[in-house]
Amino acid sequence: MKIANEKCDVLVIGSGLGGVRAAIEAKRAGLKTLLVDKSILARASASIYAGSIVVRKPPEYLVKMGLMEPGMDFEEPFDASFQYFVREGARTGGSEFTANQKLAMTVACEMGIRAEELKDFGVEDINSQRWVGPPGLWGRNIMLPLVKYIKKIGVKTREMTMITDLVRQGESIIGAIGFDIRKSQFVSFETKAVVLATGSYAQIYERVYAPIRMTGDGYAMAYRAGAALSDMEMMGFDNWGIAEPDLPQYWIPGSIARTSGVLRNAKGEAFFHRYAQEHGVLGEGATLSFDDNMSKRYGRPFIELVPYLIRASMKEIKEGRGTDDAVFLDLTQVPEEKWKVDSKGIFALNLLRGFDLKNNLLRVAPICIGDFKGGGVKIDEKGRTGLEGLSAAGDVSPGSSMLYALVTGVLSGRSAVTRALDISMPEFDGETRDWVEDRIGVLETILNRKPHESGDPKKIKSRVKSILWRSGGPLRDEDGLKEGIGALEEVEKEFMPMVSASCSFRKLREAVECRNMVQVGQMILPASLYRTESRGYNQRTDHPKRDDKNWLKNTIITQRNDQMNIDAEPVDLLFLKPESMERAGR
Amino acid sequence: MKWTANHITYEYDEEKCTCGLALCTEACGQGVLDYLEGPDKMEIVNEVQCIFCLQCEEVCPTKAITIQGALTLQDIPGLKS
Ligand SMILES: Cc1cc2nc3c(=O)[nH]c(=O)nc-3n(C[C@H](O)[C@H](O)[C@H](O)COP(=O)(O)OP(=O)(O)OC[C@H]3O[C@@H](n4cnc5c(N)ncnc54)[C@H](O)[C@@H]3O)c2cc1C
Ligand code: SF4
Ligand code: SF4
Repeated sequence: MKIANEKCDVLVIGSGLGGVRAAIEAKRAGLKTLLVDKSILARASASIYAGSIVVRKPPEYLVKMGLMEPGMDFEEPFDASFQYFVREGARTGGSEFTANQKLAMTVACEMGIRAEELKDFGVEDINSQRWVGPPGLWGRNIMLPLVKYIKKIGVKTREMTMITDLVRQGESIIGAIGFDIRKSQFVSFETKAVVLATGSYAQIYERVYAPIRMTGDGYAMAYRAGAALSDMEMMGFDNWGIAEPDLPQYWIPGSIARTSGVLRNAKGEAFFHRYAQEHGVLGEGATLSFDDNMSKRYGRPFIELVPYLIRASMKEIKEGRGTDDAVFLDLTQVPEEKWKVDSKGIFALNLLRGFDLKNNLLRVAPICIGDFKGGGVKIDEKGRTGLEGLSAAGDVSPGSSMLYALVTGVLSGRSAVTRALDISMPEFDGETRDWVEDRIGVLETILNRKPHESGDPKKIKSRVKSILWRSGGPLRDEDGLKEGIGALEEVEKEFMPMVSASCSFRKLREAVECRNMVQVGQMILPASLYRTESRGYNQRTDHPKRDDKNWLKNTIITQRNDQMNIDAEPVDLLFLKPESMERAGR
Repeated sequence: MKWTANHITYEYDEEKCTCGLALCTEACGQGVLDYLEGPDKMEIVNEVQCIFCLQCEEVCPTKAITIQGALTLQDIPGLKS
């Protein structure tokens, strides 16, 4: 077996916003920086899919056009952002007060500067950029100039190279192993510091709108290397996923038109109206008028309604009042001026391929968009994981959003720089070299295994996705979670030993992704079972209430003696406490 | 091969598909395209999931893919800069 070798001061894994920004930091410190991606640079990342970097208020022209509501923004000056981050959690990790407040504060303080600074790297002023457009178009305006920039300043890049494992020696991460798909070659990387920026695990769900390579590799690698992961049960969903058999499983982005619609069940009943009244959802001044947007109609900011909309829709579907695992979104009565643009205008409609919304109800169902989530590789306010030489940025760590990726990219990059300037190049000792050979041996076995029906990586992936959607999706309960855990165990024992890459390195990537997805599922489900309450993105029908008395905690997953261990750690409510929020009139 | 959706046409010219790198399949986050090793060509496997993001067309070095009629920001009235 021939293993190619690469040496660098800082190894950055993943070319989304987090990784690219970390690489800039390392290169600017004069370090030999290598950026690897399992696909081509930036194009396969969630950063390309993202809709916007919201720093200030929604651009006025969009408010004027009625495409955004003035209240739809949150990233106002830092205090408001910080409150939002901690209250909702999703953006900087955790959910409803389980965010790491030091990290949330750091992100809130730095995001403005970091966004501004993008101009120095050749990105057009983000405040002048647009919020809507065909998917992929927006993120490209940020990512493509950045890719150009890192090449210009001399960051070495390596595309189509999948990292499969981090190399740990003692308490430190000193390298990584993987394979180059184009050269059909295994590679070992020796480095002083690693920045993990591999993005999210959204693809673990059946109903998802996120790029296909988001298989959670980084979570699985970090776990195997002994890092801690927090709040893995916190995965956000949105209610507005298209569920028409002939249309893409696409998430309809926010717009006034969308929130002017009415959700109906198969009988045509406006079920959310009933749900909102029965479940105490209605806020002050709720008009209950279909002429108003949902936020006015139900008297609450739209963002607060989302979890209820999801619960109500899932309930209809579960109790058999839906249609083909979906409910209907009725946009037939949305007046022309609310669309503002012609029916081909809003890009969602473009994607609908001419679906006639004026005369047809659209099937929708909750969907995972990987936009909101609160779990991941635990990091501190400097992006450090607790393992020497390993920092993490972006979605692979607990937060999620372009700004979070940007700020944590800088933080993790700096931590890597500090370490790389501090130590000399670590050498793999005999034991480590044996371990590397052993891991690559496992990959080789998968590569060369005879193809077998039950070892087809694509089929195993769909199995995992369906298990996770059923038991670890928007609504969870003990029985379902236990069933899911059992089903995943079956996949691990019955199917994974058969997984085969049919002698293709491209398929080997698929097979390794499969392995990672199973492992990530095996974190999400038990973590959700462990958290016996409903908080933000962990909605348990058997524990429907938020329990601040017992659960102002992060669930922490670590590997100990080859066994998964779950604990709960109290959150440090350093700056903000839930009571104080309530007194402030929440 | 050519297919249409509403006002959009997606055209793939197999003759021109010679990069051997599958750049388009890598850029497609929707799993619409697959890569056939052996013939070293791309294959359209799941067109229902296409969101007309144009990424495949953009990265193809030989112009084997042409998408016409997909919206760009410029097409949305009032959004012109
Ligand atoms: C549909 C959608 C809409 C969104 N909208 C918004 C929005 O409007 N505003 C906002 O702020 N945020 C939004 N987000 C979230 C935002 O996109 C992400 O939080 C952010 O892009 C994460 O950046 P990242 O660098 O952590 O990861 P990514 O951008 O996902 O990059 C990860 C990279 O790592 C590579 N990689 C993965 N595994 C490996 C491996 N094993 N070896 C080598 N490379 C690997 C991948 O190929 C990828 O290129 C949205 C996300 C989605 C999916
Ligand atoms: S990028 Fe172009 S040439 Fe390359 S595989 Fe795709 S269609 Fe063919
Ligand atoms: S336009 Fe986008 S979604 Fe459609 S095939 Fe090309 S890359 Fe995939």
